[in-house]
This record gives sequence, structure tokens and C-alpha cells, in this order.
Amino acid sequence: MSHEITRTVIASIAKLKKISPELVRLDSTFEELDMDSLDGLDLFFELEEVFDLSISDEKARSFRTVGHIVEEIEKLLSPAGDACQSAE
Amino acid sequence: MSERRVVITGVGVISSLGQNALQFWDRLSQGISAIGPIGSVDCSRLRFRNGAEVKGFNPADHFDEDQSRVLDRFAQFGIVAAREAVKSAGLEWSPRLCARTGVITGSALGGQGTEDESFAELYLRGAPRLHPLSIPRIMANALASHISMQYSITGPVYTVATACSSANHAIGQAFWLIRQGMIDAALAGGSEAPFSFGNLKAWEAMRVIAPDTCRPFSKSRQGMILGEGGAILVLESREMAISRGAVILGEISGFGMSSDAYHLTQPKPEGAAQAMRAALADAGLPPEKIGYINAHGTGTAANDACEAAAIAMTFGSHTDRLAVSSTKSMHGHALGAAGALEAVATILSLRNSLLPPTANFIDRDPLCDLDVVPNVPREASCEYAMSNSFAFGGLNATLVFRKWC
Repeated sequence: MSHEITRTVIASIAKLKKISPELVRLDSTFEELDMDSLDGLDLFFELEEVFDLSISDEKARSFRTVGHIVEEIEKLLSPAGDACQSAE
Repeated sequence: MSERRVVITGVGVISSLGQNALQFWDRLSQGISAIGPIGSVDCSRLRFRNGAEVKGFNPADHFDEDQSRVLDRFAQFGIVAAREAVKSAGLEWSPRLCARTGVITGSALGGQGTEDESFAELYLRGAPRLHPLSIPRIMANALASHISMQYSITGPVYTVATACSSANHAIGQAFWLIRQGMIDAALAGGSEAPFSFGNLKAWEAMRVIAPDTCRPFSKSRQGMILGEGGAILVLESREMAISRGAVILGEISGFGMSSDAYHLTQPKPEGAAQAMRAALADAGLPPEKIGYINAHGTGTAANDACEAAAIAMTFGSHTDRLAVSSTKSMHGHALGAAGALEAVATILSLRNSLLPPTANFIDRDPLCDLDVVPNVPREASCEYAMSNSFAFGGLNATLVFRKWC
């Protein structure tokens, strides 16, 4: 599952930034990927659609790396989690 | 063509803080925030719950049925404000004055409430047709046109749509038209009614709305709070105001505008500073003359830090002697009407020698190293004050006002 989430997140970023997925690592920061605030909004919108969940504004503001996003999506999709938990 | 001085002789306000200028100032000058749970839209599918709505507004108190049919809420707000402004200015219309008067209004969204309702009918309920007055209700210039028709004003009448800077651009252009002698008087300001489900969802997607309240310049700020309302100012040449014995509330001394030419949503301090410097130059003032700034101060992380940096760039060492407050902490961010509400707040601050505070302030942010008049109104007599508006799209507009004494 985690692998699938990681692959989807990386693929979404690669598509958004028009770069090879190989250039996107879990520890890549938004700065390294040249992602500005609008790119972030685009990405969260895409991931919310793909995974059918809601990422809170507070969480969205706290993300610094690709890994942070993957972790949050894993949490929201875990059986103990709730896809709406992050929606405040 | 000689340059003339331009004064304000009437104001009208409808806002979450009150439905006339007196109520607006009364609450503002006490630091009372009107932000609370949104009542007009079901927020169960939204990540935020709070706004600054005009509660208890009944169109039937102001318009007959025929008038209401053609007016979206945003235009209703503007007309109510215009009527108050004209009444308080004591204007007596003559054919010559009507021809020498302009109406310049600002609105970011126009009649988007009508648009939202109409399109829901069309898409969700399969309505076969839309109301024939949909377009005249939705058009952004509806307010300017209705004011023109109400008073038979035949001078330059138009609407500026520069998102959150709309009203400042509108007031600034009216000021310049009068100063240059092209017209003698103007009704200028803006109005907005952004509380519809579709629009709130669009704002939610921007991730700039606070889940709690608007805390401009606080380190713990989480974003802006949407507001609604309208404000209209009566501007006229000083000569005309004096010759007709009008009560002068204040003077507009300068207007400056700029574009960041940088990013759709990320502000750039250099752009805001350029607008402030242009307004000072237009007023012929050194930065040291300004005592108070009514900040754009939205409460978003990006705006407030950027505005603080821009103020420091513009004012240098004088920054430490400036009082800067954001009244959006009380009346919310009324988008295209924001500059008009804040112009009235600034004029009344100068007139009453009382600075409205930045309400809801809880903790200092080193990135916003300003005297933000936290939470408590302050008595202070300033000769000049500035009011900033900065818009998505990087469009900046700054007005400078002078106390009339």
C-alpha cells in the first residue's frame, strides 16, 4: 500500500513539474522540486481526488518533503484512520 | 489644467460591524470583531465555519419589489451605502452637477451569488432557462449603473475589478479625475457579497481561510476571514465643498499603484513598496509625515510578512514610529469592498484622533515587526494616514488621507 501511495504521489509531482519521476525522492523538499504555493495547491487537489480524502489546511502548511505527504496519506487511509479526519 | 485638492464630504457603509457609518465606526473604534459562524451558507461541507456577514439585512427595508428583482446582494449593499453617503454629504443635484459627477465602483466578484444560484438551477435541477435579468444582476458594473440611474449622474461611470484592490483603485481614480478637473465630484467605493457555497468552496481550495478567526500580524495567524458589505465615499473638489458649505470629513492627498509582475498569489514586497512610494510621491510627502497605516493585513502568512517588509522598505527608520492596524480583524476581508471600508475607517480615525486596533492579536511575529495597535484602540492625532490594498495577481493600490482641520 505504502509503495502504491509513494508511487502515486511521486508520479503526481513529476507530472505537475514536468520532470522524470526518478528525480523525485521521498526526502526531496518542495524547494528542491521548485514547487511554489500554487503548485502545492494543485498537488493537494490532485491527491485528494485520487485518494478520495481531505487534507487539512494545517497539515498542508506543515509539509516540507514528499515523504511528509506520503505519511499523511497513509495515516488518512489506514484502517484506524479516517479519510475525513484531516478535514477539521 | 490646474491641480485641485479633493475632499471627502460624505460616507456610507454597510458591513458586518453595522449597517451605517456610525455603527461601523462605533464598533470599530471599540475594537469589536464581527467575525462569527456563517449563517447564510451551510458549512457542513466546508473546512471553515466563520465569516463576517451582514446579519439581518432585509432588502425590503431598502428596495421595492421591482428594484429587488434586478439587484444582486452586492449591488444592494452598494446602493444602501451610496444613499447614506449622498445624504450625509447633503448634495443637491443639478443638471450641471450630474454631468460633472462620476461614479467609480470596485467589485472583485460582481453578482456571483446570483450566478451561483442560477447555475445550480441549470445544472442540478435541469432548469430549461435562466431568469432574463440574470446578466444585469451578475454584471460587475451593476452597482455603478444603478447609482448613476438613481441620481441621474451622467459623467464617467465605470467599475474596476482588481480583486482585493478594486475599491482602492476605484477611489484613487475618482480622486485623480477630480484633481485633474475632469469632474467636480464622484461617488466612489466598492461592494461585495461573497457568501455563496460555490465561492466559499473556491476559497477553501485556496487554503487561505482561517478555521478560527482573523489574526493579522500574529505569529499564530492561520489565514483570512471573508467579509461582505459596501462603502461609498462622496469626493468633491475642495472649492465646491467650501462654496456649498459642506462638512468636510477629510482629504485625499495621494494615490499610488503598482504591479508585482511576479506571481498570481505570492506577494512581493518590492511591488507593495512601489505603490506606497508612488502614493507618497503623488501626495508630495516624505515618509515621515505618515502617522498611521490601515494595513491590507489579511491574516495570511504570506501577506502580513510581505506587507511588514514592504512598510520597512518604504519607511526605513520611521517604521518604528508608525502605528499600523488591520481592521480586517473586525470586518473581515470584503475583497472588492475592502479598500472602501478601510478608507472610511482611515478617514474616521483621522477625524476622531482614534486608531482602531488589530483585534484578535495574540502573539508577536518577528517577521511582522510593527506596532500593530494590538487589541486596544488608541488615541492618537495624526495628520496623514495611508491605506493599503494588495490583490491576488500582484496588483497594489495605496491611498493617502489627510486629517481635515
